[in-house]
Amino acid sequence: MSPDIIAGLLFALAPAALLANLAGVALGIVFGALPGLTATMGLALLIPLTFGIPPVIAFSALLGVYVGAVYAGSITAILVGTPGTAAAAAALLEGPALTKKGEAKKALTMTTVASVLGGIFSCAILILVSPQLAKVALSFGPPEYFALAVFGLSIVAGVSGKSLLKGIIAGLIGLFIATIGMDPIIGTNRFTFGNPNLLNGINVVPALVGLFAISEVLTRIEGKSEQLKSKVSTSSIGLKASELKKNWFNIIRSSAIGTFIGIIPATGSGVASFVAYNEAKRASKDKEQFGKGNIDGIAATESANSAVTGGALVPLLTLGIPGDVITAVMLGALMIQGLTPGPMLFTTNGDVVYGIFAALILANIFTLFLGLGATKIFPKLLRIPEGILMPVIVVLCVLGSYSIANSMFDVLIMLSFGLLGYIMLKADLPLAPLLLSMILAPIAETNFRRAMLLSEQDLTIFLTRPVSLVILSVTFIVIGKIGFNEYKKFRNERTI
Amino acid sequence: MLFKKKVLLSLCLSLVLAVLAGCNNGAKNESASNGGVDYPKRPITLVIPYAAGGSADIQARLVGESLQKQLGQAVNVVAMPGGAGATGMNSVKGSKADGYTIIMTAVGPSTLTPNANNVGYDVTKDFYPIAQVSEAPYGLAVNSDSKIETLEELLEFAKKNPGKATYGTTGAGLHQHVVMSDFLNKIEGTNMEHIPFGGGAEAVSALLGNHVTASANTISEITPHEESGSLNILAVTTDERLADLPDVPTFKELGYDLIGQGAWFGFMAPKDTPEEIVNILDESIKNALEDDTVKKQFENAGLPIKYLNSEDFTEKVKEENEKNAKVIQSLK
Repeated sequence: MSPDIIAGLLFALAPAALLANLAGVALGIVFGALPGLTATMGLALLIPLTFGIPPVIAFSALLGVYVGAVYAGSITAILVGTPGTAAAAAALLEGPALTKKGEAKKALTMTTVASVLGGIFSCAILILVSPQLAKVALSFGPPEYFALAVFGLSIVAGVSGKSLLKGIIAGLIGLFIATIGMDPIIGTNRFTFGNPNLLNGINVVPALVGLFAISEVLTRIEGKSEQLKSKVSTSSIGLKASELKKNWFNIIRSSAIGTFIGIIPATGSGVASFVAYNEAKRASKDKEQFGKGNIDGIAATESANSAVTGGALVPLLTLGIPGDVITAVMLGALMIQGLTPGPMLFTTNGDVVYGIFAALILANIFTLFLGLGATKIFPKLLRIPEGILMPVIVVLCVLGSYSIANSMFDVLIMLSFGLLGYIMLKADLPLAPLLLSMILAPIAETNFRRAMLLSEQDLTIFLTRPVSLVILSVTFIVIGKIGFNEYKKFRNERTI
Repeated sequence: MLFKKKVLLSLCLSLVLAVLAGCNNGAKNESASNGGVDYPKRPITLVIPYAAGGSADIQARLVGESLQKQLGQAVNVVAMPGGAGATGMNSVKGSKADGYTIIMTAVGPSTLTPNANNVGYDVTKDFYPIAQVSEAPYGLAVNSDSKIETLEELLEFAKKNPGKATYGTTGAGLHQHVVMSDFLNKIEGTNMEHIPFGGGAEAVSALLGNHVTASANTISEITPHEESGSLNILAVTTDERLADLPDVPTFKELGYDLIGQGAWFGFMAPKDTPEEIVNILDESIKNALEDDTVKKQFENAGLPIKYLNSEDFTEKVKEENEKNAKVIQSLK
């Protein structure tokens, strides 16, 4: 072992670093679980405290928050249908249904185990092959991003529920919402109606919180949603070893998807878990079980979203390029420490880099222990009478969406989306496609137009570049197959 | 049993109160008394028109911490991102002009956003510049695979390959774009297509991946890649060559006048804030930027300190606001 690795391990295993890591994970779990409070806010809160302390201790705390928050976003999604972060939205596809079946504990245990496995998988990739993978990240130019986003949009079909048409309608509403704000290429204002708060578009987090949490609360008020209370007694069903064993390949595949999407800057963990879910569903023998509380779906979404953590650190550490807001905040923290992330970091500060790697693995291990402890406590939330729990959720949603930008405007956005979500539920429109297209449409649009500028308005740019050609062909086949299946279904219905 | 609980609860509460009171006493209560005003008497809110955790946040916290020590009152940094900076600017514009709500803003929210959109404020009419804190210069870089080594070679390439030559920036209508498009507009026969990205990191990775010909970025974003040999920096926007890049010429020495030298950050207050208060703040910011720890931290973060006092900063804001407005109009 090189002296750098040993020095790094010693940094990360020092008592202060371990304590910082553990406290970071605990704080991260709180930030992740509360709707509207995000991992970024947790990090921003910690950064001023890290100015004076050694880099590996500082990073133990920061990585702890990151890993903890990404993991915990799904806890509230599963228990009360309120995702804590955008990355956790995919947990809604199976989580609440499992809770309604009385299997909350099982779902949370799977979340914990799959998250930790995904996180450790991505650490391994980060440690072993990050310089090579960084090159892959760079090969993604505008045409490739466009192709990837279009592929992502094809997932709408997989998360539409019963009716593909209704899924597409919801997706189109999302596409429309994503056009609000300044045009990304020439800066023209679109649908802002002269309101400067809309210049940067609709903020995804308050929209997401409103869409899922407020609409759920409104539905509960009607008393039509299934009562959770009576099922709590059976919520002690744990995860069976056989269920974990059955999912080993699913978890590896999802972790690989998560790591890969993490590596490509500017895509994000929300996308990763949807892609992983869709792949798990596609590979599964009984597709009918998906959407009705299937533990395999949870294994896929949770391992994928946690695997993004290690992936996102690849371009950050090797190129100094942050892939998302969270890693951008970390870049600032690294620089304050006098470390310049990028090609030279491994040679000039090898010990710190290995310290960071070790801290990331430790953060995952702490998540396992704290998480397994939490799965015993969190389901008790469901024992709180709805009359108390629902108002508390609303208060948290208001606080959370206010605190993102210290702006009442975001609270209004949150409430409006709550109403929109409620209306959509009434009309039997699925919510997931709307969110998915809100996340993907800006990536697709901007990169399509960038590609057009690069190629002097020549559409063949998407076909002459191999990566983009492959992704687009796969998308084309997938969409073709979906169309064919729909046609078959339509014909069967008519003959009956 | 119930009684015990109550005792415990009240004990806990009093403990919390005691700790809170202790924190309050911790901040020394010696208000500066120059200019005959008793300021500050209570905590100051320092707004940033950017998200928490970014470089604006870091600068606000570093300077804020020093202000807190000097003025004996807490300085609370409040992040108000959104609206291309307009949300934070409008919030401070609408606050009481008493020095208790100030903003650490930047070139974009103050001179670009209000010129490109109708956002309800004009930086020269609604704000009182207190002091400039930093200015991060830009560099124009190309991928070293391109074999382009000087600015002239790049311009030559652009002339010979109209439509093929492209340059990336941090985003449409942002400062790098405004400065670069003004620069290119003045050169005849050069047509470089602008490709806006979502922030500096995306622009750099597009350049590293050879997806664009050139890119205008903050120096700290590109120097690590110049050191590793993957990028060539052709020119920098400062008047003088940079100490870290002694071999890279400035645009000025190559004979080009730019309308901006970099991404500046500075403090502003609502327009009618009393001059005495602005002076106290200006003086304290100056002291903060001369502090060795603050200097070191700015240097580490890749943020070059460039202090300007209230008068000079006001002049600069006015000048750049006019120039930028013209370029933005021509972009439309």
